[in-house]
Formats: sequence, structure tokens, C-alpha cells
Amino acid sequence: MSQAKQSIDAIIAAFAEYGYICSDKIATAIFLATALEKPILIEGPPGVGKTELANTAALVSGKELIRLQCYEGLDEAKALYEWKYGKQLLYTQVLKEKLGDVLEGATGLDGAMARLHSFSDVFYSHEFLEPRPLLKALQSELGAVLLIDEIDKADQEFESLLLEVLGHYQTSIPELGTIKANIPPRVFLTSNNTRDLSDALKRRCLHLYIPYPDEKLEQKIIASRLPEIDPDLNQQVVKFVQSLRELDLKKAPAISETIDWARSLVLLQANQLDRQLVRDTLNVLLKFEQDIEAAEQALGELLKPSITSSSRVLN
Amino acid sequence: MKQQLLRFMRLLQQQGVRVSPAESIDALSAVSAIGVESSDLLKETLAMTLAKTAQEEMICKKCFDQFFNGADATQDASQDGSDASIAPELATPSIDDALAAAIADPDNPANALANSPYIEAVLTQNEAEQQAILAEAMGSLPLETMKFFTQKGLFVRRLLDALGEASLRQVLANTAPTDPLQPALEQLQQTLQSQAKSSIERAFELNAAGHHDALMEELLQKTRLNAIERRHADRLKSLIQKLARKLTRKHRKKPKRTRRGQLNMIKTLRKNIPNDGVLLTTYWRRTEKRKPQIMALCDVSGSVSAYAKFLLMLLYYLQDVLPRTRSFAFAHRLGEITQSFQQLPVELAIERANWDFGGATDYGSSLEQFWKLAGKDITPQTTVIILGDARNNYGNPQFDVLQAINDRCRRIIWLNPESKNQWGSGDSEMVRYQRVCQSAYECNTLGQLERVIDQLLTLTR
Repeated sequence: MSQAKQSIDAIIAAFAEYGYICSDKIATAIFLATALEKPILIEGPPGVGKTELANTAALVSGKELIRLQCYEGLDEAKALYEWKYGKQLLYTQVLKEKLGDVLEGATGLDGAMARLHSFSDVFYSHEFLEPRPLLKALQSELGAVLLIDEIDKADQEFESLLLEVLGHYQTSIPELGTIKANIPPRVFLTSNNTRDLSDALKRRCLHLYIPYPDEKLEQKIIASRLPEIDPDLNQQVVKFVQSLRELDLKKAPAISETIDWARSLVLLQANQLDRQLVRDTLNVLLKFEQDIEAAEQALGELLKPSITSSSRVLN
Repeated sequence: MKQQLLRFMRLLQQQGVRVSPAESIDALSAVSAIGVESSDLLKETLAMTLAKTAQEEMICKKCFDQFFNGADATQDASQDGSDASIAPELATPSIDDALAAAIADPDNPANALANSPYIEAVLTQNEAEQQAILAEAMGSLPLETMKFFTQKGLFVRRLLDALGEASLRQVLANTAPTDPLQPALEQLQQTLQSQAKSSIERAFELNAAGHHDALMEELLQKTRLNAIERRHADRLKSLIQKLARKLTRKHRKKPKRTRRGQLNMIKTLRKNIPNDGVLLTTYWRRTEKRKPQIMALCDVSGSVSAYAKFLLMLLYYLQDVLPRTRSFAFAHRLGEITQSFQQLPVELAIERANWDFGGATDYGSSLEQFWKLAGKDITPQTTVIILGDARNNYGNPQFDVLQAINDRCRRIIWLNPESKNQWGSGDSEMVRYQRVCQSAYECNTLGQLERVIDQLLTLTR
């Protein structure tokens, strides 16, 4: 087995310890991101564990997770840095009062100006800098995991702001110069693909697409999240959800919803899927009225495979 | 290996995945980190570093299978039919041994075969060696220039020459038909030929498919839209999508919005220096905000429906850049189709527009209806696009309505699918309408359409 393969298997094992079952693909992406020091851009339908991946990565590496939630109108003052205006104003007041002391003994205007220039200007200095998530991640002493969530919700201009941070792990503040990261943070970006991201941004990232998991993986995930679930019920639940995804729904149920559903079934102490039970709990799985209606109509068809297969297991 | 990977990336480029030099460097360093032992791992790695969308990822993986399956055949010969066919042929060791002996014998005419390392590899069944020589020979051919299927024969010939098949032919010609070695030699020749053929075939599929697509698209760009055959409709659809994507990318920049409630501290301090540093006047951060809006009127009557379909399609895909676009369809009457555009898939939406509003054109009353329907929503930021041939069936053209529209909006752009010298002939009111419009263009190929929309987007921003 090659060294790379070993490290990838180690990643899978480490993530599984924290309850995140990742496929080979995801583990490969994490390995590459570490090896190449590149950000990972995670795409995929909502609820497949994009954000969770970053959370778990932070837990596994034992680093601090810094999260930046993107939204329309997010700008550098909220993402990168801001000046502490209040303190700056106070500083000018203090300076004015102390001006006499500073200029004492200076002769003539030229002398006063020379004196003024000779002392350091702290108006724009690190003391007055208020770091926001991006800068915090760069300045972190022990390295950090930076999660830029739902980057597609932010404006186009914000993407360009990110380029320098993602490409070189540094940022330029006009008044202070360039600030470089002590330890390059591990960066995860997530996108729901509500709009296309710019090529410049994509180029700087590894692209990881997380689809809905296949049956086996989903069963594993549920078993890891809900150890108390009955294996038969787990199988039925996953089968049902998988076939539900094939219907033409407004929003297909994601893993997080499967987990919620499985959890509620366990709470209801069910050990077998039946029509009534599914109908009563469908609202955990589907979030739109039309979807629930569509699913109810197809219920007979949907339940058939999962029930027959389970009876085979029971026999 | 690096050569192979670079060729793979070139192939991806032909298939429409944009691979920049920086990305290929990234991919190479990723490959060196991951190693090449596992082909699955390699596939994921390349897909991850080179692809930028889920769709590109799929292309990338498909190409990977096609491209490296040939090269990896040493590990899994059964995957490839041509390679599998060698095995039974070599199942008769006695003749092979005799042949090998004959080749080794310097007096035998078959000795000439000893010059070809490839034939030797085939005879000794050294598949790894075979593949290596084959790959080298393939690499020496200018495969990128192979664009048409008629070139295949030539390339097969050249590949066979590079493999040293010429000497085999020579030997065959010199051997008597009764010679016991004859069948073995013939079989050998057949094996070589079939291998060369399948290699070239594979290379053609990989290379030429991309070229062919590019050529076809270039042609379609220049063809008059109504002359494009129905069977190309699918291709055209993807082409329009591509075009829309291109325009979207180019004109992505959103209008800046005011950032109210944020103090522009630097400016405030600076401007208040005359007040002895007392912040009398405050300055707020703000940037200009402009909201461009487009209203598109499409003639869907029989004479221009072919063009209207494409403009509608383009508008449909451009909704992303121009979220405030309103679309209208008209022929004998006019109606808004923005709603159905947002809710239905493109074909259905266009079909419905044709169905609802198709008929004999009446520009005058259609303009009037537009004025009634949307006139109050027209602002100085609105651009009105009209697509139609201006053939009014000798009805009342209602110039004053168009004039009224023009007075309220930023500009009117008229796209006419007829060529310019036909404007104004017969029942065409184009010349007179043109006077009212800010600009009128002839627009009957995708290339022209792209240019016009491109200009339009530049001007609306």
C-alpha cells in the first residue's frame, strides 16, 4: 500500500471517530488539501454534510474553528477587519491634550512639525485593528480551520476580496501593509450553487462535490450517528429515503433529514416501517406541502421494496 | 508519466474543460503527492484539481477512463477486446517456437523480424513491453492533427510503420505459401494490424470528438438561424447555453449598492480638520446604485418564430445576469411571459408563448397593449428590445406609441432578422420604426445575436 493510501485510510478512521463517515473521495480531498495547502471548495445539495465536514476537520486536527457565514451585503468590514473608531477618536482627543507636552521646547513652526513627525503614528496600528474572521484565521497562533459557509450567498465583489487570502494566505491592509499567516489555516468553502462562482476563485481551490450518499454509506452514517437504531429499521429507512430522492420533489431529503427521521422513529420506538407511521412522520423528512402530498400518493409504491426486503431478512 | 498527464489535460481542454497552466501545475503536484499506484485515487485527484463544476468532474472522469484504460491495459488486459484477442492466437506454442527459432536463425529470411522490438515483444508475450513500445509509437505521431475519420487509415499505416510492420510484410512476401511458418506469420500480421487499428480508433474518439464539436459550433454560429436543421437543435441549445454563460461571466458585475449606516471615518476625520477636529459633518459610505432593466418584446408569428425562439432561449438563460428582465410575446396580441419563463423549463415556456400569442402580426395594437400593460413600469433605466421583422400586414403602425415608449425608456433596440436591404420593402415598416429606435440591428445568426446582446449588456451597466 502506498504512503498516500495509508494516510487517506488514516483520515477516514480519524473522521469516523468523531462520527463523520467520509467516502474515499472526501478523504482524498482532505489529504490533498493538507499536502498542497489549498482550500477545498465543497459543493453539493443542502444537507449532505458540507459544513459538518469542516466542523469535524477542526475537531480531528484539534484546531480552532473560525466560521464566516456569508450573506448578501457582507463586506470587508465584517469579514476581514475594522478599525476601532471609538478608540481612535478618544486617541485624537488625548493627543490634543498632550500636544502641548509633546511640543514643549520646540522653536518655531518648523521645529514643531519636525517634533510631530518624529514620534510614531499609532492612529492606524495593530492596537486599533479589530480582526474579523478572515484576519483572525490568519493571525491564529496555532493555526485554525476557517469555514467560509455558503460563499454563493455573498456578492461577487466579496469573492475578489477572498482571492488574496485563499491564494497566498495573506491580506493587505492599506494603512499597515501585508499581513501573512503564521500557520496557513485549513480553509473550507461551501456552496449551494445558487450562482456560479468566479473562475478565479475556483482555480484556487480543490473542487469537491458531495452528492447524496449511496445506500451503504448512508446506512453507515446513520448507524454511526444513532448507534441504538435497529439494523433492520436502518436498512428500511435508508431504502425508503433513497427511493424518495428519485421522485420529482421540490427539495429531496438530505442526510441530515434522514438522520432526523431515523431519530424520531427511534424515539417513537418503532422497529418497522408501516404506512401509518410513515404518513405521520413524513413532515420530518419533507419540508414542502407539495412534496408531502406527492410522497403520500406514491407511498404504496415506495414502501413495497423496503418492506418486502425486510421480511426477507426476518425470515 | 508527466507527458501522459499533460496529454490528458490537453484532451480535457478539447472536451471543453478549461485547464489553465496554473491548474495543470497544481494537478501535477497533487499527483506527485498522491502517487500513481491506485488508478481510482488518481482519477479522484485529477477530477478534484482540474474540474470546477460537477459537470466538468463527470467529463474529467469519463475522459480518464477512456484515456488511461488503453495505457493501463497491462494490468487488466481483459477490459480491452483487442488485447484479449492476442491470447488465443498465441496458444499454439509449437508454431511460435518454430517462428522464434526461424527469427533467431541468421540464414532464415524471417531473421529480418528481429529488428522490430515490438514483434519480439508480441512473440515473447511481454505485454508490458508491448504497451510501452505502442505508447511510444503513438506518441511519435501527430495525433492532434487527426480531425476527420478519413485520416484514420493513414494514421494506422504510419503507426504500423513505426512498429516495424514493414519488415514483416517483406518476410511474408518472400515466404512460400507452403512454408510451415506462413500461418504463424499471417496471424502475427493480423494481430499487429488489429492492435494498430484499435489504438488509432481510440485516439480518434478521444481527439476528434472535441475537434468535431468545436467545428460544428463554429459553423452553427455563422449559419442563419432559420436554416439550421432540426437535428442540430440540441447542439444549438447547448451552444446558446454556452453563449449565455459567456455573456453572464463577462457582465457578472452587479450594480453597487449603498452601504447605508456606515460611517466613512477616514473622510469624516479629514473633512473636519478645518473644524478643529470636531466632527461636525459626517460622511457616510456609499456607492452608486443603478438598476438596469430589460423588457424584451418577441414577435412569435410564423415568419420570425425561428429567430424568436433563439432570442427567447438566450433571454431565458440570461435571467441570471439580468434578474429584472421582463419578457413579452406578441403577434396579433401581446402578453407577458415572464412568469412562465420563471416557472417552466425553456422548451415548454417557448412553446406556450408560441401557442398563446402566435398568429398574423399586428405591430400597432401589440405596441399599444404593451404600453397599457407595462408603460407605467418603464423608467429611464429600462432598455426595450424588440425582435421582429416589422411586417405589419399593412395595418396601423402606431408610431406615436413607439415614440411614447422611447420617451420614457433609456433606449429601444430593434433586432430584425431580415437583411438590411429588405427593410422597408412591401409591408415592412422597419424604415419608419427605425427612426424612432435608438439602434436597429440586423440579427439572424447566433454570432450577431451574441454581439448585440454583448453590447447591450455593456450599455445597460
